Amino acid sequence: MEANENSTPAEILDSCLNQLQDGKEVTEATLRAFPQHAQDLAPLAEIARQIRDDFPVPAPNENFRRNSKIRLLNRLRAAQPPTSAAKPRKAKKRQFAWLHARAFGTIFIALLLVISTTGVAWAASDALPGDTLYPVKRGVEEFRLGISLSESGDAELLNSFTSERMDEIEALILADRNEYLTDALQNYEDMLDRLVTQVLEITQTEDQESLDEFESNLTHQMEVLERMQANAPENVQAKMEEVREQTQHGKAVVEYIQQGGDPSDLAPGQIKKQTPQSDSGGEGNGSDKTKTPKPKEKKTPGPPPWANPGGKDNQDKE
Amino acid sequence: MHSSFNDAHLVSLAKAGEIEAFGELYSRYLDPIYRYIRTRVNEDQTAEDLTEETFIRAFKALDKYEERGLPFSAYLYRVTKNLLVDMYRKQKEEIALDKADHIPAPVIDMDESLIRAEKHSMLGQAYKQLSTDYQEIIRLRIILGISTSEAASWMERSEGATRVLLHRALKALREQMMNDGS
Repeated sequence: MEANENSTPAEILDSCLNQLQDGKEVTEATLRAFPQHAQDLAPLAEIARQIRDDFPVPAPNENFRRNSKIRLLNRLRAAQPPTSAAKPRKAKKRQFAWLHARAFGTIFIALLLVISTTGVAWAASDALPGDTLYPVKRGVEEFRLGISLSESGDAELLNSFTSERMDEIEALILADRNEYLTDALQNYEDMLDRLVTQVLEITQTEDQESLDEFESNLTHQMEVLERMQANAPENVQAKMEEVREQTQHGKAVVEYIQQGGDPSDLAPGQIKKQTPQSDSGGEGNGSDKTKTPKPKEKKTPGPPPWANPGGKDNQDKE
Repeated sequence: MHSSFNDAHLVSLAKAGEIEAFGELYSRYLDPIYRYIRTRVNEDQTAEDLTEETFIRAFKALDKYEERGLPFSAYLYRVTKNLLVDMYRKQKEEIALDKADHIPAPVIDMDESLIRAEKHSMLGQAYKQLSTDYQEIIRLRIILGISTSEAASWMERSEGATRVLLHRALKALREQMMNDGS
C-alpha cells in the first residue's frame, strides 16, 4: 500500500517497512513527504531496520530442503489407509459391448503390454518392505543400475537408493509396521555396502562433487538414524546401533577418499566394518581403529551463529 | 504439473488423498514455516523436526480446513502455533530474542562494536517486555518480512488493524528501550 498525504501514521510506517523489505533505505527524505509524522516515525523506522539487521533468521539448509519432502511424503503415504487413495471405478456401460469387444480387447492387451511395466513400476515406487509391490520396486532399481553407463552413475544411483532405504525405515517406524524393520535395516546396510564399494571405484574420475554429495547424504542419514533410534522398538535397537556404526564407517571411508586418501590403502575388510567382536566398543577400541580409516583432516563446519547462542552448547556436545 | 495449481486446488486434491499435491504445498510453504519456527526455537534440528511435524499435522487435519477466504498459509500458521504451544508445555523452552546470537557486521573499531552489542542487548531486553501480540507482529512483519496482508490473515485481523498493531508495537518497543536506557 502506497502512503499519501491522507495516510495515517500506521499506514505510512507500513509503507516504510515495505521499502525496507524491498532493500531500500528509509531516509529522512522519504519521510519528509509526511512532515506532520516524520519526527515520530523516523525513530520507529530506524528500530525496524535495526531489528531486521540484527536478527536475521536462517533459511532451512539445503540438505533438509532436499530430503525432507521425500521423507514427509513417505511418512504420509505410510500413515494413509491403503483404500483412501483408490478411487471407485464407475461401472462400464455395456451397450455396444458385443460390437467392440474384440477390437477393444486387442487394443487393451497391446496397451497393457506397453504401460503395465511403467504403471506397475510407478505404483511400486512408494512400496515399503512387506508390501506386495516392494520386490517390483527393488527390481526396477536393479534394472536402473544395470543400464547405468558409468561407475559414477552407479554410485549416484546407489546413493539415492541408500536414502530411499532410510526413508523406508522411517516410514515403517511411523506406521508401526515394526515386523518389517529388521529386514529394512538390513536392506539399508546392504545398499550402504554397495555404495561404499562403488565410491572406491569412482575415485579414479576424481568426482569431488559426487563425493561431497555422498558425504553430505551419509551425514544426514547419521542424524536421521540417531533421531529414529529414540522411537524404534527395543527388539531392533541392537540392529539400529549396528547400522549406525556402519553408516559412520561408510562416512569415514568417503571422507578418507574425499580428502585424497588412496583407496588401495584400504584393505577389503575395511570397506565393510566388521561387527565388533567384544562388547567394549566405542572410541578407543583397538579393532575400530584399525578398520575405520581416519581422514587426514576432518571438516567440522560449525552451526550458523544464530542457531547456537553463545556458541557453547554444540561445542560441549562434541 | 502441480506447480501450476493454486493453493485451493492443491488442497482439494490433497483432501482427496493425492499426496503429491500436498508435497507441492510443502515446497511452497517450507521456507516461511521453517523460518517462523526457527525464530521460536533454539536449534536447527528442532526447527526441522517441528517443520515436518507441522505439515504432518496439517495433512491429518486437512478435512477441517475450509478456505472461506483464509489462505492455506494462515491454516499452516495456526497448526504451527498449536504445535509450539504443545512443545512449550513439554519443554518450557523458548529462545528469547536477546539470547539469539546476531551475525556481526564487519567491525571497524572496538567502540563501534561495543555500541552495537549494547544496542542489540537493549533491543532484545525491550522486546522481551512487550505483549505477545506486539512480539508476534514484529516477528512476522519485521524479522520474517511477511507482507501485511499475509500477517493479517495469519493473526486473523484486518489489514488496517494489523498496521495499527505494528505501529503501536514499535512505539512500545521504543518507549521500553528509552525506559531501560534511563
